[in-house]
Amino acid sequence: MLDYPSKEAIEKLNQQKNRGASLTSDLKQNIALFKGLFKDDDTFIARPFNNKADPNIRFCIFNMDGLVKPDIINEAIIKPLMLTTIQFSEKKRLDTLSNQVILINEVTKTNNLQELIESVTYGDTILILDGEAEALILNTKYFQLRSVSEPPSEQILSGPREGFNESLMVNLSMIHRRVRSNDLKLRYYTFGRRTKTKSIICYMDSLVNKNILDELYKRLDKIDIDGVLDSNYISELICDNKWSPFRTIGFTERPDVAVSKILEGKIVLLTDGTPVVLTLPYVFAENFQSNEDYYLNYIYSTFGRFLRLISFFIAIATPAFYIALVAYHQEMMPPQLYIAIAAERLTVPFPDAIESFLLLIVFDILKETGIRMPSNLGQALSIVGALVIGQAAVEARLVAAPMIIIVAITAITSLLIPKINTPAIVFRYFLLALASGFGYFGFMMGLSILVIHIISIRSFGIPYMTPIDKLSFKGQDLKDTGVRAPWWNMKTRPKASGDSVRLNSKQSGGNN
Amino acid sequence: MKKAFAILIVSFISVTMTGCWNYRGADKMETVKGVAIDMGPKNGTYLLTFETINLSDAAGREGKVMPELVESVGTTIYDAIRKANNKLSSKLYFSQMQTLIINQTLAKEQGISPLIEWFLHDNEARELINVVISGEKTAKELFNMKPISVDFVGQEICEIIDKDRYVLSYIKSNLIYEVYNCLNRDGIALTLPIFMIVQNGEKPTIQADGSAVFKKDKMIGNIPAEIVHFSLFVTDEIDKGILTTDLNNDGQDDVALEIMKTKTKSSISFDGKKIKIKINVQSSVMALEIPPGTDMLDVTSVKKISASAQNRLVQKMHESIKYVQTEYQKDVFGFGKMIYEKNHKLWHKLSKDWDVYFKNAEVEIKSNIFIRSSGMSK
Repeated sequence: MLDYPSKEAIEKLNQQKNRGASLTSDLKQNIALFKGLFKDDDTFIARPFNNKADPNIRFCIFNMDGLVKPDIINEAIIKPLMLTTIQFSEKKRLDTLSNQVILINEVTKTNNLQELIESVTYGDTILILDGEAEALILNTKYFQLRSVSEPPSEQILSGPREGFNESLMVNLSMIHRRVRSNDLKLRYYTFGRRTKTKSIICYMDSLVNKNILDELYKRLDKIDIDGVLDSNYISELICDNKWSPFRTIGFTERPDVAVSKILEGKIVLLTDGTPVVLTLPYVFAENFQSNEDYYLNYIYSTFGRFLRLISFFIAIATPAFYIALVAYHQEMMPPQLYIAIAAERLTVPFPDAIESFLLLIVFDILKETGIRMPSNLGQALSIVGALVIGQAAVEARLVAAPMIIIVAITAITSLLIPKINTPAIVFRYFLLALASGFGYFGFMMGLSILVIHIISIRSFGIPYMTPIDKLSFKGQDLKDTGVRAPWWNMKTRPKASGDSVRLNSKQSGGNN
Repeated sequence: MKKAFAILIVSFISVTMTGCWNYRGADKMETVKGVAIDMGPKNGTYLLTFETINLSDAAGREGKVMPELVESVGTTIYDAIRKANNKLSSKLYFSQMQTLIINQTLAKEQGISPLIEWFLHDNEARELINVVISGEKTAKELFNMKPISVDFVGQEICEIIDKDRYVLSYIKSNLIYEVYNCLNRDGIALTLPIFMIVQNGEKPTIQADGSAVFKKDKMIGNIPAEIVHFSLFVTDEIDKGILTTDLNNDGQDDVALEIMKTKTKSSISFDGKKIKIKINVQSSVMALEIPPGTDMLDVTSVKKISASAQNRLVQKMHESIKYVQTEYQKDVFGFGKMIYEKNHKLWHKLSKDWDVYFKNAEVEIKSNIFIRSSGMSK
C-alpha cells in the first residue's frame, strides 16, 4: 500500500490555507512552514545544505522517509547542488538549477502549497532555495510494490498471465506496452477530498463514443467523497441503476482484458492503489465472456459460453423449480421420480420450502467462510462441509437427499459465473420465495420480472441487453454474445459503444 | 406508494384467482396407481379398491415400494373415493393413476358411463388412464396378483398395453378420453381390453386376453385375442407384430415374419343395397424364421413365402370381420365413422340401420407383403 498524508497533516494544511500561508523568499521561514505542516510526522525529513563554492547559496530539500530512493537524492540532487560552480543569474535561479544542475527526469516549479504537499506525500522531493518564493518538485518516487503476477480471481489456462498491481504507473505501462499508438488517450483524474487518489481515464480517441465520454466526465465531476481505496467506490457512484444487483460497469485485473475493451471502443478507468480497473459501458453478454475465449479455439469457447449461460439459469432457477415441482405440481413428475421423492419426504421433519431455504443459507455460509477464513484452516471446512452437511444430515434424516443434490447443482453452477454472482444470489432467493408461495405461477412471474428488469437497465445509455435488445439476428450483431465467432468472421466492433464507432476493424481472412 | 399498491394487488390476485393448487407435501398424499370398481355389498353401492403406494419402506437404502390396497364403499364413485378417508389420514391423490379396472358384471348390467364420469371431471385424474375390464369374477382380485416386471398391478397393466403396440399388437386399448369419444359418437362401437388371471408356472399373474365389445356403454361379449390382432390390421393400428404362415400346407406353421411397417387403406362404397368395403394392406417385413435351407437370394422362394403370408393374412382378416359381423353385429372397426367423415348425407341415410348394413357388408381384402430383409447370416 502507498502512504497517504495523515489526517492531521491535511487538517493543518487547511488551517494554514485559512491563514493564507504560502511560501516566502526566506528559507528559514519556509522550513518552519513545512515543519509546522508535518508536525508529529516523524517520517518527514528536512535536509538543509549549501553550495561548496558559494556557501551563501543555501538549499533545503524535503521528503518522506520510505517513499523515496536515497541514492537518487544523494547522487542527482545533493551532490550536483553542492558541487556546482555555475553562475546563477539573479532572476530565474530555479530554472537555471532545473536546466543545468539537477539530474532528475521530471521537475515541476510551483508555489502552490497544496500541490507541494501532495507531491511530497507521494514520494517526490521538494527543493527550496534561499531567496525564492517558489519550489521545485523533483521526482524521486520509489515504492515497494507487489510484483506483477497473475490475478487469482481471473486465472486462465492459456494466454497472457500478467495482472495489474497496485501502482498506477506500472498498470499504465502494461497498457501502453500493448497499444503503441498516439490514438490512445490517457487523462488524469483525481478522486477523494482527503486521499487525492489519482486515476487515469483511458480510451482510443478514434473509437470511443464521445457521448459516453462526456457522460462519464459529467458523472465523475459529481463525485465528492473523502477517500477512494478501490475502484468499486467510483463504480458505485457513477453506475446507472444504483439499486440493481446487476453490474453495469465491468471490472478486470488483467491488462489484456483492459486493452481488448479499449479496442472495442470502451473506456477504461484505472485507479491508483488497486489492481482492479473499470471498463464501461458494460452489457449483459460480457458477464459470460472470458478473455480466454479469444485465445482458444472458437468452438471450444462457444461451448464454454453456452455452459456459462445455462449455468446462470440453473443457478437462479433450480431450487425454485424443484420446490414448485414437489410442493405444487407433483403430477408433472414421472412416476418413478415422484415415488423416489415422496419416499424421501416421508421421513424428514421440515417442508420442502423451509428445507431448501435452510440448505441454501448453509451453502452460502460455507462459501463465505471459504473466502474469509485463514487459508490454512481449509481442511476443517471441507470436512465439516462435505461430511456433516452432506452425508450426516441425510443419514440423520434431517434433510431429504434430493434437496442436497439440488443445492449442490446450484452451488457448482453459481461458482462458474463469478461475474454475475450478486444477481444470481438475489434472484435465486427471490424465485425460491415466489415458487414456495405460488408454485410455477410464482416462478414464471419471477422470471418475467427478471427479464423485464434486465431489459430495462442501461449502462451509460447503452441498453444492457445490447445487441439482443432490438431482436436483431444478424450474424455480425450476435458474433460475440452467446457464441464466440471465429476471428476471421468478426468484422465489426461490438455495437456497445454506439453506432458512431462501428468500423471495419479486422481484415477479413479465411473464406470471405 | 402506487408501486407497493400494485404489488399488493398482484399478489392478492395470484393467490385467489389462479386455479386450485395448493402447497402440499408429497408425504401427505396417498398416491393411487390403480382403481378397481366392483358392486358393493348392498344394492346400488360401489366397492372401490385403490392400489396405493406404501412408502414406509421406501426411504431405506433398498428403496422398496410396496402396493397397499384400500377398499371403500359408497353410493357413487366420488362418494366412495372420499369415504376412503374413514381409513386414511391423507387424501387420495390421483395424478399418478394409470389404470381403471371395471367389473365385468357391472359393465354388462349397468354400463360404464356413470363409472368413468368422475375420472373425466376431476382435476387430478388424467385423461390418459387406461380403462380395462376384469375377466375375473371381481375387478379387485387382479390387484392381489404379483406383477412380473413392476411393483404395481395398475402400472403393469398400463405398461403391458403401452408396449404391446411396439411388440405384438394383440391389444386394442382405449384411454379414458377415447372411451368418452367412442360413447358419444356414431359409427364405432367401443371395445376395451380384458385382463385376467393366468397361471405363470406356479404363480398366478395377470395377462391381457382379448377385448370386451360394447353396445352403447353396456358390455355384450368378448372377442378372442387373435381376432383382435387381425382386426387391428383392418383399422390400421399395427406398428409391430408377427405374421406366421404355413409354407408347405402340412398344418404346421413354419414361417414367422416380423412386421417392420404396415399401412392399411380402406375405401367404402354403397350401391343402394349393400356396403362394399375394400381393404388394402401394404406391409414390409423381416423374415427371421424360415424353413431351414431356404435360399433367400432366390426370387421364387422369397415370392413363395410372401404369397403364402399374404394368403394367410387375407384369410385371417376375413375371418375376423366375419366373426364380428355374425357374433355381435357391432361395428368395432369404425367403418360407420369413416362414412360419417367422408359422406355425411349417406351416413344419415344409413345410420338407423347401420348394424344391419354392417352385418351384410361385403369385404374385399388385398394384401401385399414385401420381404425387406432376412436378418443376419451367422
